[in-house]
Amino acid sequence: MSAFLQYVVNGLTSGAFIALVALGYTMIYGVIRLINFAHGDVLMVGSFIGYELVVTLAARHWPVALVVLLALVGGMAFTGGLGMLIERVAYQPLLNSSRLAILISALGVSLALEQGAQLIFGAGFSAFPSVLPSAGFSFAGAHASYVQLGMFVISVLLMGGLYLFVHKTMAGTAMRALAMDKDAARLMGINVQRTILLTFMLGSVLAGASGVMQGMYYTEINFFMGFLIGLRAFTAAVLGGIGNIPGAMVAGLLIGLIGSFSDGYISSEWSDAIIFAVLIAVLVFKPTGLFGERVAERV
Amino acid sequence: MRSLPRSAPVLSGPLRLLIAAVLAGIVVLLSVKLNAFRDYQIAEIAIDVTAVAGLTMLTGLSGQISLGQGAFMAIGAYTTALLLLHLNWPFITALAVSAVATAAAGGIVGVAAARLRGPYLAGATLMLGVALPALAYVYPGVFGGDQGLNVVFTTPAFLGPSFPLTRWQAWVSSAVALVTLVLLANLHRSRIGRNWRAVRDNDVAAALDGINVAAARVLAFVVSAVCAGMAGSLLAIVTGLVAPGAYTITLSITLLTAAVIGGLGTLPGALWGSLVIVLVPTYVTDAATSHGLSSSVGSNIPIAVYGAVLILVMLAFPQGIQGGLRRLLAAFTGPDRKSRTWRAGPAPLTAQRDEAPADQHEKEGTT
Repeated sequence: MSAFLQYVVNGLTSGAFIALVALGYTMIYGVIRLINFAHGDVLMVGSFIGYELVVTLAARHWPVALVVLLALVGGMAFTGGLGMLIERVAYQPLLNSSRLAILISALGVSLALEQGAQLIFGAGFSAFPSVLPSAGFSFAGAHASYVQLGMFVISVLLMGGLYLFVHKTMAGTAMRALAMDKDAARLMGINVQRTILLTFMLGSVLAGASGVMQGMYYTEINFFMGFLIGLRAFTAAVLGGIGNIPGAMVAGLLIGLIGSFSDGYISSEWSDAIIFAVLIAVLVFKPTGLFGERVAERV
Repeated sequence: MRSLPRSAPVLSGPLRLLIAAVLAGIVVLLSVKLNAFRDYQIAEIAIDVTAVAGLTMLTGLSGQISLGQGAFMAIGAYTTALLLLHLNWPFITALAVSAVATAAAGGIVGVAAARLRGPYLAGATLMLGVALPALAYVYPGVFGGDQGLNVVFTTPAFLGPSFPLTRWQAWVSSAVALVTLVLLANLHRSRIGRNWRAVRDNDVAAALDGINVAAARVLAFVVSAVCAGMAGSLLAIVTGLVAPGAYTITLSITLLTAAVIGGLGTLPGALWGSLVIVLVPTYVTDAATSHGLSSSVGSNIPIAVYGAVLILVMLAFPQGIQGGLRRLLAAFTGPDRKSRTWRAGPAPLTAQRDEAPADQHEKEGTT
């Protein structure tokens, strides 16, 4: 039982990281129908920015809370800008051509980011300096650190903030309108280009937050980390129903839990196969994911 | 104004065979003139052409995206390796059995995939590409784990002892690739190919025309899986090693890249795309080392440049290289009246923009 609870704690933590990334996939797919393969690599860049900030500031003996906050905010700000830059350079010129053309462009961006990071930061692992306290609390035989709790809370706050933004503000309404029908949205006077840019910024900011927190939590980062996280996050977005924001959150946590359980009870080699089995099982019965709405069939 | 014909101009039967014969002649000539490394590259290109040609039929013609083509290559490669290792079967038999095995796997995946659209299909095939090759780690007793299986492949006796193995590998791979291309070209032109296009452009209309939409979708997966299985089989004998590291999700994504870069849904595009994914990284490496870049920088540059090439080709030719070539050709010869009036016909209700052939995929939700 205590092992079970421990896997739940670990799974929820990694699931929260995955959910933050899955939100970016699902929002970006919603507005421009693109599987943004570069999204995981944006996360990786955020992680490295956070790493550089922590290393620089910790060397000057700034207070830990301030260092962590600055790293988080700095990483998020940088990735937000990066996301908008990528959209402008690599996707916007292709918005009116085939979806697969943008997909390949996204792959190109992904390769460029990975190799660029490898050139700048090296191919090996970079160890995050351990600035965070390792203290925690135990309950029912499971151990949760305050850091895990804090990161989970931050993730939930970010997700809640995003949900409110998308549903309560004018810009969020524009995003949802765009996801529904681009041409009708344009006719309603929505600035489509700006809304797409905003979507990329929001998605990338969340990815950046996830990247910085993952760096601090797992303490090791490298240029390739975004790829695998990206695969799982995209799977979560699909599982939750693409374009569905609460769906991505729930499915992200679910995938984190599945990964944690199969790592713990079976072996990590089986994790991907089990996630695949769950995905197929869900899609066979619900071809549009757990919470996806029925795709409008052409009339 | 529509600047491209609705679908690829389809060559007549004898002309296709002639082109295949010319390509075979080019391969033989090149393999004799060039060194062993280039022979290896020819084999590599032929293998990629085989896999990409199947994928381009699946994604370009039947409108189903697959990010798991590498998984079928892995099935073909492991089948061949196991047959050659344990049963000492001749390669041609192993190739046939691999094709049958991947056809069965493709059928199973196709049945699951026929219900899925757009991102859901992409996600399901993506996880297939991630999860299936990783099973080789789980059963190290059968699949050799991380080390993989070694495959022994030799030149046949009638060629004499001094015939280079790489040249024979290039010949075998190219022969399989060319036969595949000819057969796929026939399929493209047949009722089956027409059904795929009909299903891709509008599945409701296709169903009303009496096409069994689900069967057409599953068949496309089977055909594409067989091509991938044969490509995996060839890769097993050309590299002499079947290990999970060669069949990661990166392989699947690279194959889709080749199909799109070359020109989705076109068989010449499969060739252009394969040339790009094999040759561009090699040439950039050569250029980087000859300009005296340090090896650590030099080894990173190719992939970064390759990424840039992908973006630039897509920005310049959103329809892939074959689409770009066709457009260039049209600029020289003027509009092809016959194909425009006959093939273009009234624009389908769903086509909203000029770039109709590619746009159809979007409406279908290919990505």
